[in-house]
Amino acid sequence: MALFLLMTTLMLLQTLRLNVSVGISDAWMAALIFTLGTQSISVLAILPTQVVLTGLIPHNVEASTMALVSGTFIWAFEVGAKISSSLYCTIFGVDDDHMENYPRVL
Amino acid sequence: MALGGIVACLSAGSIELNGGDDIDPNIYFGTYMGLICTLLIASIWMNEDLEPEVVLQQRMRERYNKIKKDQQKANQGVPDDGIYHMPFESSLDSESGNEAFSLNALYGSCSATWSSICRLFRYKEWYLPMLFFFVVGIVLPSFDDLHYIFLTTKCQMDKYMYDFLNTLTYVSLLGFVVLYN
Repeated sequence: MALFLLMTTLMLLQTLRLNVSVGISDAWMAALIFTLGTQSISVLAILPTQVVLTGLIPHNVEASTMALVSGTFIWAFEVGAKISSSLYCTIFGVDDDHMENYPRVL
Repeated sequence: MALGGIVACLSAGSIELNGGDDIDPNIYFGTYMGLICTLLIASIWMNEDLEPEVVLQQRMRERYNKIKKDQQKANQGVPDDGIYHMPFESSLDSESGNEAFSLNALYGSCSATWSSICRLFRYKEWYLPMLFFFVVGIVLPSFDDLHYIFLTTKCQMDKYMYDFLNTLTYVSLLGFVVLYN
């Protein structure tokens, strides 16, 4: 969660163009944000949980149960995250042509 | 996954760097379909314990046929009157019997699978993480796609630059996995 907060803060700094004012280029800032990207830091939440839950999976239904666990993770960081972000964008009126409120969404 | 992401980002960056010419979408989808099929086949062949129910059902059916044949052979002893009474099953009856067995086994298997999974939700250790990640999906948005629009339009970043930098996501993913291990 702390890494998510850090990544979102960096994105906010970039959208406010504060990185340029202190002399950090967009490329370096983007590199830092990508290093702490959703997919990479979500691994730190997924892996330990998956390892612990694997011990609870009953015999003979391993594939189905693992599919349920993986589906929950995909919901959390891909599907649900994209749906909720589109909801926020709708509320704040942000789209491809109107990025003025993007910092407020972040 | 990480290697796939790195290859995808580098490929996308290279295409953009070479002028971003349109490529036949069939090539993309064909490649994608090929990768999915390869992964599907790999998942079946690499670990027999993770085989899908369909394969297990097929095996059960074959085993059932084998047992049935063995029983028929065992029952074919010499009768008292010396006359053999061979039961002839039509192929239709035999197939419909197999199908009925397979369907019953499939229903039973599905029912048992769902029961086992639902039983797991009685335990706090199971349902709390599931609930947590479900709620995370609702309350934690991901603005990666929107940030792409921001970088390429507002910051005037080249698309190939974005693609190459995006490789870092998957490199760090590998790094985090190593860190966890």
